[in-house]
Order: sequence, then structure tokens, then C-alpha cells
Amino acid sequence: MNKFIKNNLSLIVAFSLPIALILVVVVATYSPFSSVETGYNFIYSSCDNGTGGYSYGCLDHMKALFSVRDDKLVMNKINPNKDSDRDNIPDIEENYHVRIFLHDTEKNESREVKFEEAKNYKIISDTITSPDGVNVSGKYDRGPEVFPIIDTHSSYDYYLTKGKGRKKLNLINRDSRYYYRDNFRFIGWL
Amino acid sequence: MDNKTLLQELSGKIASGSISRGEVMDAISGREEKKSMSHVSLMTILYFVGAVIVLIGIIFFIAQVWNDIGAFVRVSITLGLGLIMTMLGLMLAKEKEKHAIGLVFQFIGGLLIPGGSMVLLSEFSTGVVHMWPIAITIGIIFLFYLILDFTQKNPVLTFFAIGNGTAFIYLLIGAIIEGRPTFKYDDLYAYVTMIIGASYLVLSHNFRIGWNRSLVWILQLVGSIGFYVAAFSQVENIFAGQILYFFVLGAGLFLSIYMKSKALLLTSTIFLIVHFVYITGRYFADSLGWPISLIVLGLIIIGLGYGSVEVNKKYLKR
Repeated sequence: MNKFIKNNLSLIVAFSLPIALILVVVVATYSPFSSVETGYNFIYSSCDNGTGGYSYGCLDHMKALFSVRDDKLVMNKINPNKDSDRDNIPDIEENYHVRIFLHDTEKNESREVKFEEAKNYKIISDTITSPDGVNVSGKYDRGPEVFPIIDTHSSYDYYLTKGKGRKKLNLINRDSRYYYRDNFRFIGWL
Repeated sequence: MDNKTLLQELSGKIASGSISRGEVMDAISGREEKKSMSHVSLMTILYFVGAVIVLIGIIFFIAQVWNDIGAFVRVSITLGLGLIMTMLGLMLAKEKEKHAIGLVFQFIGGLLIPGGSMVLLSEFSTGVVHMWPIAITIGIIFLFYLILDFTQKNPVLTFFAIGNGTAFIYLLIGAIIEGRPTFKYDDLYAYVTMIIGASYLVLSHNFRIGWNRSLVWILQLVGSIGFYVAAFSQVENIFAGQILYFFVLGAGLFLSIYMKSKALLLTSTIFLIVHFVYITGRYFADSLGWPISLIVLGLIIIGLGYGSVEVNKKYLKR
């Protein structure tokens, strides 16, 4: 065995270098230390205009529609003259359909909740940073590209982040498929 | 070393394939290597020119009929043809050991197989490009060539084993990080390229004796270029890194002497010159002015060129 190693040392080193690098990448990518956990769930909203496509007035509409007051979600009356996308059609006639979701951070899954249910939640914080220091943050990922011929799809996703740690959120929205990213509004931590 | 030990070691090397019986016989009979080399080179060049023409013909033919044929035929004329060419090459290499004809068929096969397997994948794919299937496919081809090379021991198979192995490493890392942007892709791929470049240099050291000798210079050339370019991309905007890069290039020069590598000497010298030009342009052109900078730079380049030629004469010429 020793003789084999001695005779083939350079070959072993040549193979070991990339294998070691791959192991480092695996550990850094899948290690629980690089993942992020929080003890809080959060609610968010997403919006579409009924056509199945993107509407860039949605985010403004969501911002105007919901706010947090006294730790509760409230729905505001929309100014009938407000025209977020300046297309001469007031927002109230735009057919915007806003949905509210509760995201379970432990299971990393979302479920839709009615406003009547959501308004009863106690919202601890409406900042994107949770009380235990975890952020909800968007990041554009252009996807790994290997050689000019292989180019995987790019996406815009949301993550729980803390320091260098990052965990992708499985949200229900369309931001990952569109260049304009106005289809997610973080509301608050529960 | 006594005669018995010498013969035992020689038998061991023949058995392990690191040296062939033909090479031993050539060395014993004192055959004129140069004459034989020029003869083989001409034949080999003709074979490989023919192979390239055949390959271009195949590509044009496939392109012409691509839209008129079904999935099965598409896979057959790419992957299938590649496999047939490789097998034919292996048989010819066995029958006509002295000729490069077998290697030429293996060469054509080696170029067709990866493309053919991508055709196979795309015919079964749903349209969305994911890294894992591509990585696994290229990994299988890498294993295929590794096993073939282990049993057949020829440089063309080694070449394709290394090529597919390299592609596999990039693809595997791409698959691991897909959808998990823990790393900046450009930085990570730069590090991968540096590691692969270093591996090539180590491999070339291993290949200096044995059936892969013809691959030594190409591994050193490609490995060192890859390493230097990737390393430069990481130090481009860091002053300390730019200084460190001089030491990296200096280490490359020393390594070229240790490995007796003209390719490494050439790339190290060229990258050293380029780095001097870069540093001059970035830090001295504005303060000293371009004319003075050019004079200093010219002298540095002359010095490096002279040094490189002297190193070559003194340490590398055999």
C-alpha cells in the first residue's frame, strides 16, 4: 500500500485537489451552520391582476392596502383616485387580487389565510429583521453557468439571512419568474 | 542500483504500463528517435487532418438532416456513431499498434460522445435546463474513459478522460450550488479553475514517464494559463493580491525549472510581462507619465526575456 502511494503520489494529489474542493463546496452549501433558523413565522402578501401575468402596480397597491397598527394587520381604504401604474385606470378598478400568506419558517412552507384570520394575528414586528436577528431578503440568482453552452435559468428568490448564512424560502408568488419583482410584500413577524 | 533491482523495476514499469515494451526496445536498439519521430509525425498529422475533415463533414451532414429526423436517429448519428468510432479505434489500436490510425478513430469518437449524450439528454428533457442530469451524464462519460484508459493505456483516451473529468468537476459544483447562492459564482469558478490548473500541473509531473508523455506539455500549458488567469481575476482589485501575484508567478518560474517545463516557463514569463504592464498602467503611468513608464517597462521586458532564455538554456535544455 505504501509503495503504491509512493509510486502514484502525484496522481493521488492531482485527483485529491478537486475532490477536496468539491467536499468544501458541499459542506459550505449543505452544512447546518450555513443554514438559518428563526423561532418566528411571518405573514406576507402577493398580488396579481387576474390575467396570470405580472402587474407592476401591485406592490404599491399592496403597500397602500395593508399596514400594521397596534400589532395588528389592518386593511386601509384605497384612495379612489390613486393610480399606482399611471395607466389612467384607478387602482380600485385594476382588478388587483391580493392574497395573504402565513409562512411557517420551521417547515418552510406557506399557506393562504383570509384577512379575517390574519387581522387577529399578533404581529411582533413589521421590520424585515425578526426579533432573533433573522432577515427576509431578496436576491437575484443568475444560476450557475458552466461554459458558454450550459446556462441554467436565473431567478429572484427570497431568503432568510443572518450573517453569511442563507436559507431559501419557499414562497407562493411569482417573483422568481419575472424581471420586475413587485409581487411580494413582507408584512410582519408573528 | 544493481542489475537485478534495475530489471525488477523495469519489469514493474512495463507491467504497470508506465513504459511500453516498444519504448524499451527502441532505447536498447538506439534507434534514431528524430528520424522515427518525423516519420510518425507526418503520418499522424495526415491522420488527424483527415479526422478533422471527417468530423466537419459529419457535423454538416447532421446539421442538414437534423430537422427531418427523429429522436432515435439523432441519438444514433451522434452518440451511437461516437461509440462505434471509439470501439473501432480501440480495435484498430490493438491490431495496428505502430500506427496512429486507431487513435484517430478514438479521437473522432471522443469528440462525438459528449455532444451525443447531450443530444440524448435533450431528447428526453422537459425543456428546463438543470445541472444534475448533465453533471451525471458527463460523470458517466468520465468514468467510461477512465476505465478504457486504465485497460488500454493510450494518450487519446487519457486526453478525453481528463477533458470529461474537468467538465464533470465544473458541472458537479454547478449542480451542488444550483439554487443555493452561498457563493459568488465567478469567485467560486475562479477557485475551481485554479485547483484544476494545479491538478493539471501535478498530473503532467506524473505523466513525464510513460504512455502519456505526449500530454505533458499541453497539461502544463493549459493548467498554468488557467491557474494564472483565474488567480489574476481574484487579485485584480486588491493591492496586496497584486503584489502576491508576483510571488505566484515567481513560484511558477521556479516550478518550471524544477519540472524542466518550457511551457510553464513560457506562460510564467508572459504573465509576468502582462502583470508588469498592468501594474505600470494602473499605478505609474499617471505619476511617471507614459513615456518614462514605457522605457522602464521595456527594460523590464528585455530583462525578463533575457532571463527566460538563460533559464531555458541553463536548466531546461537537455
